[in-house]
Amino acid sequence: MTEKPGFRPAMNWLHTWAGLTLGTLLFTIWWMGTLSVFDQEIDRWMKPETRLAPASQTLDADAVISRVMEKYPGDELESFLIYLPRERKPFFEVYGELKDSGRVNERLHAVTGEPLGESRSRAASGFFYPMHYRLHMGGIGYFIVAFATLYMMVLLVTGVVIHRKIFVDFFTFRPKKKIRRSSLDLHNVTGVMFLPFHFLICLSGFAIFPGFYASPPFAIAKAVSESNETVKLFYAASDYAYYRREPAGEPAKMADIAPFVARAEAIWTERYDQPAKADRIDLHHVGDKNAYVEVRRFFPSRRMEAHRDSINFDGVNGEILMDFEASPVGQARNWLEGFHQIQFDHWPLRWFYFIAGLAGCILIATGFLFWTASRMKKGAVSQPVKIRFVEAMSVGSVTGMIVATGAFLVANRLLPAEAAWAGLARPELEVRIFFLVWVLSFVHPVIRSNKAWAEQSWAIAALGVLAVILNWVTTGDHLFASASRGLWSVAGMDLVLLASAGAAALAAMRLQQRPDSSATMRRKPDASKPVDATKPSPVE
Amino acid sequence: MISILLLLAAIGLALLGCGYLALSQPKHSKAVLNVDANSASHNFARLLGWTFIAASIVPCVIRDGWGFAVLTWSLVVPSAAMIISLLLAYRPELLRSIYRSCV
Repeated sequence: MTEKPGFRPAMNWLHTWAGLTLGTLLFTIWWMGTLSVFDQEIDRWMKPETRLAPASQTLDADAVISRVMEKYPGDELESFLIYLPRERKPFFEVYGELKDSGRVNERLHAVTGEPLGESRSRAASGFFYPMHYRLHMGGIGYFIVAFATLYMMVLLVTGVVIHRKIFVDFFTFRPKKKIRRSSLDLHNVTGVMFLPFHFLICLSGFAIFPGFYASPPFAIAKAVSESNETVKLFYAASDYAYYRREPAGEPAKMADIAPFVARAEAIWTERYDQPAKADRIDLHHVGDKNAYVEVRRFFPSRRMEAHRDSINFDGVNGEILMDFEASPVGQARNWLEGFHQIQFDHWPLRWFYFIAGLAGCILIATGFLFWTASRMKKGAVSQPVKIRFVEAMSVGSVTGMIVATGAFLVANRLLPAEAAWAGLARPELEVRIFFLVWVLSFVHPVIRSNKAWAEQSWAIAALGVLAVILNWVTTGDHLFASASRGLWSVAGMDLVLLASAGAAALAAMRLQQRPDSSATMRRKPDASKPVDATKPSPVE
Repeated sequence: MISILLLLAAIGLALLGCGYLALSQPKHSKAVLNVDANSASHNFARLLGWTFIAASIVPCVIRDGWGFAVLTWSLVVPSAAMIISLLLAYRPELLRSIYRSCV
């Protein structure tokens, strides 16, 4: 079996071992990224109070501020941040800093301004999405994900190099052959067909965070020089709008905010020659003579590229203090960022991203499956610990991650509204359940060996159906009710859950056949034939 | 409505194109059509395949303009290829009825 030294065997070695050691990490990032394609829709499902119809006519910024201040009579605003409603997120999200009450955070109905109450889940935008790019590990998470992304690109390229018959096997999928063969077919097909997209999604994901990769040296520089100039340099280098000024200490009457938003939108509409809407408003030093208002637009709805548009107005006299436009280099980066973040309104494209994401998940999963299936074939019984370790890692990383996601959704619908346990609030309880189930999914294959693949697939199917039923029971929004109310986010989520349950059940039935591996494993506990158990299965 | 039709047109053209490309390969054309086609008809199928794949960008451009069209097209084609390889595996007879005319 020893191969001649050469380029292709070397690439094969790199592909196998990089895939094996980083597969868990890659599947986690890839799966969470795929879910994040529909982060807002998952949010609507997991936070029923936000299941609102998109509104065309929304409150203006001044009405939003007065709605929030009604709750704090006599208090004064210092700074304020408003995220404006969008099609996929039809409500206001505001963060304020008040003189006496401190920090406040509210979500308001887009039309009536009614507060939506406290959020009871971190859901997709607060849990899946951050896990995608920083693994809930803080700063170091960005670097781990960046490293994994680079390796994913290495794996994509080495995969092409070691794949001998790219064109002949382009459409070849043989599901009825042995699991080793059909998993390799599926690995090749998904890998080759989506290669350009997968490569670009890795590249653009890597290119989003240059600021973070540069942050340690900047942090040192800032600590050493202790001046704002370094921060300014940092923002200029990463091509962000940056405007700051200190309060004057003299009170002054603030101008209305809504006209600033209208003026900014008019400027952008003219500049880009298409209707522009602001995303976000920042108020600084409210009530001071040096007050200023920043109106921003990151994601144009009908363009792919992200923007860094930002206009700063003097909060008292309405003068434009800074009008930021990205440099040409910044525009290239904007394209990559817009491509990766998918904040534009284009539903078919969003679904295609989801399909490509799932293809990437299948690519990684079948890579694992092929490794274990081919080792089993080569007489794995003589080295069961190593194989079983990798198998446990693969099962936990792939099906375990999906089971944990299902458990997260089910927990979200099952936990009572005021649930709290051991000092953990409801959102944190959901997260703990996710991690607990995930850890258990690594233990399960240690006990059940290669039956775990199929058993966890059955668990995914059961959790998918259960989540849909629980959604109906707890909110009354069954499939037809949500569809008839125009809540396509919720209806779509239910449909995808049912489809996933079906797919998982099919996969479970297929995995239960596993003729090549189960034949050798089944013989193991048979005490009457101890000789067979240690004998490697005959090589065909 | 028109935007849905354009999208379906793009997917349909990509499916046709990928189907012809698959049938331009001896092993698939033999499995689907059960004939040993000659190399001339394989070349013709390949030409048709690439033509349809290239043509499938046209409805995307009409629908969204070039910016989104290139991206949509780059995802429509692999998705169609995926569907063709699944059809080849599970339902080759569906392809047979469509492609018997050509190869």
